[in-house]
Amino acid sequence: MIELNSISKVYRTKTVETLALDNINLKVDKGEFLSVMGPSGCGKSTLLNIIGLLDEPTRGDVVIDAQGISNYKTRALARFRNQKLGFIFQSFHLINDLSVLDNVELPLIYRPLGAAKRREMAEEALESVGLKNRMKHLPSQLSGGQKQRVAIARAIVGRPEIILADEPTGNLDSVMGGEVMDILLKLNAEDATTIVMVTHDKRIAGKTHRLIRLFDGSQVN
Amino acid sequence: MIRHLLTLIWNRKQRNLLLLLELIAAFLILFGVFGFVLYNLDKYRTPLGFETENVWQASLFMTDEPDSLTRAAVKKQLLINLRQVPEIAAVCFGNPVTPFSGSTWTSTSDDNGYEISAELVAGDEDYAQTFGLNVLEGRWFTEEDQNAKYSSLVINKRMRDTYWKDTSVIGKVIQWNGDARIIGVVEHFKYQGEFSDENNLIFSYFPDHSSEMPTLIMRLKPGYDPSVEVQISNIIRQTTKDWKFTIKNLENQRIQNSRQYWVPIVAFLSICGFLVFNVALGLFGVLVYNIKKRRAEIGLRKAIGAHPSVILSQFIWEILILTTISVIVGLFFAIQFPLMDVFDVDPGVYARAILFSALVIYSLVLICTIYPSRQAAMVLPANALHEE
Repeated sequence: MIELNSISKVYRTKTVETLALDNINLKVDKGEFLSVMGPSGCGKSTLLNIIGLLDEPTRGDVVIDAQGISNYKTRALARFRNQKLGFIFQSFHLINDLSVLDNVELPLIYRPLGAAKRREMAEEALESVGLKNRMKHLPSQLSGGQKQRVAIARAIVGRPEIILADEPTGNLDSVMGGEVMDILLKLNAEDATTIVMVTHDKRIAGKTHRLIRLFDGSQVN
Repeated sequence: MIRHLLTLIWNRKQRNLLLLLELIAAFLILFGVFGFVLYNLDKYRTPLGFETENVWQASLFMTDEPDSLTRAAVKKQLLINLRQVPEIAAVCFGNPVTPFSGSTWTSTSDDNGYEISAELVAGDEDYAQTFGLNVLEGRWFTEEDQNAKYSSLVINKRMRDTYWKDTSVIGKVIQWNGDARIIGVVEHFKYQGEFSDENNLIFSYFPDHSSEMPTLIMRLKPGYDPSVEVQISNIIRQTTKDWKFTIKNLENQRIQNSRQYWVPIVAFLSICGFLVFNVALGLFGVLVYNIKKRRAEIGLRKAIGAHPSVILSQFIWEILILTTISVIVGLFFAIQFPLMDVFDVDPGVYARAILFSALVIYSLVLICTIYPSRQAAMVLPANALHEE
């Protein structure tokens, strides 16, 4: 499903050159739930950004769903992200001025869909995370766990094949983190959604199919 | 997308309020200034209707002594003497209601049940030629009008169009200080200045020697020698002897008269330009600030599939929608002026003022929005999503 071939990423400033990822080779199968662990600054988020086509590698190729992404232009990349990928962030990144329903609908407004269909899909996604009763609320009226469930609904509303989660439980207590993890596991189990999750939590990582560790930009096991 | 943007704008109404108020205020100020400028320019565009170049005007203060016959003889002699000066193309007498003097004489009359109101100017048979008036219909006064059955009147086109549009007025007898016959129509005579309204106007005839006509008007030939001005002054002094007189150049008077309108117009436009510049700066600052504050949102939108052009158009549309709301609110207030007829101004002036104000506001907003929106479109999602 996801194939990273000899991926390196170097950040350059006028005076400093930082190697964020060094020759990463990784294969994630369809329906696999992979967690990525490592100390802060080891390149986890950079790896996730590269898989999520939010950043370009300095060297190497990214192949997703058997499609080489390297030659994609901006418009094709945007369309690809919209249709194939779902994102979950540690700090939720909900738009506070939009209702829960409007937040969940957001990825769909970049698709040629009618308003009724978008609303139907967003309600369905909210129902699957148990928040249909909160769809008129604003994010500020929700708890951290509820916010992350809204973010999950937003990630799955477009029915993507891959979900990229950057420390989805990082800002939550253990109970709420557990709830969020249960939803992700359920998604993976029932819909065969491929999930790549960055986490600091060994216990959470232990629930996934496979764990890789990064250290100073290199894969260590 | 528009529905999504409307939701976003509505939910941010408190934060957008100041921007809305700024745009409404800018629209209304522009409307006021454009209204003032267009109102005056419309009047300015109407031809003056008479010549001022090389035209000189001498106001004669005739003494009571000797008797009126002697005064008439002096005036006739004065005309004879002046007509001998080769540089003088035409000369005539008029009453004290002269161009740019600020004097007006308004009268009304009951013409068989219809009230006729008009301003009055009096001139002799050479008045039209001296001023270069354009007689559209009929003729100007001649000496024969002294003994005509009815007193003769020449009216302006505006008066004809006001009271007798689409009918022939030449030969028409009206009640104006008794029976009077209209013998001619002149196109324009905006004697109060280029920026004045052209009102209904009646020229009445007085012979040149009449004591009602103390203003001597002379049109000199183009390129005349300036020394002729001294010569004219000497002729007047020598012919009239103890009469006092003042001579003014009509072109200078026209310029002075116009200046009192141009100065406020230029001042208003300058203030307005400064205001527009400040609004532009404010708007630009607010938009740059908003985009900085919304970097995470922009990053998210790009991550979930928004192309940079979509981000660009989103921010442009957002501000265009806000501008449209401001213009609609401003329009509500602006439209009260023609509806309630607050000033005696043609509704077309208001319509154009609204149109120009809206055009300036939209142009300003677009210019100020393009750069910040481009900045927004170039936000890198990987960076923006990690800043928060």
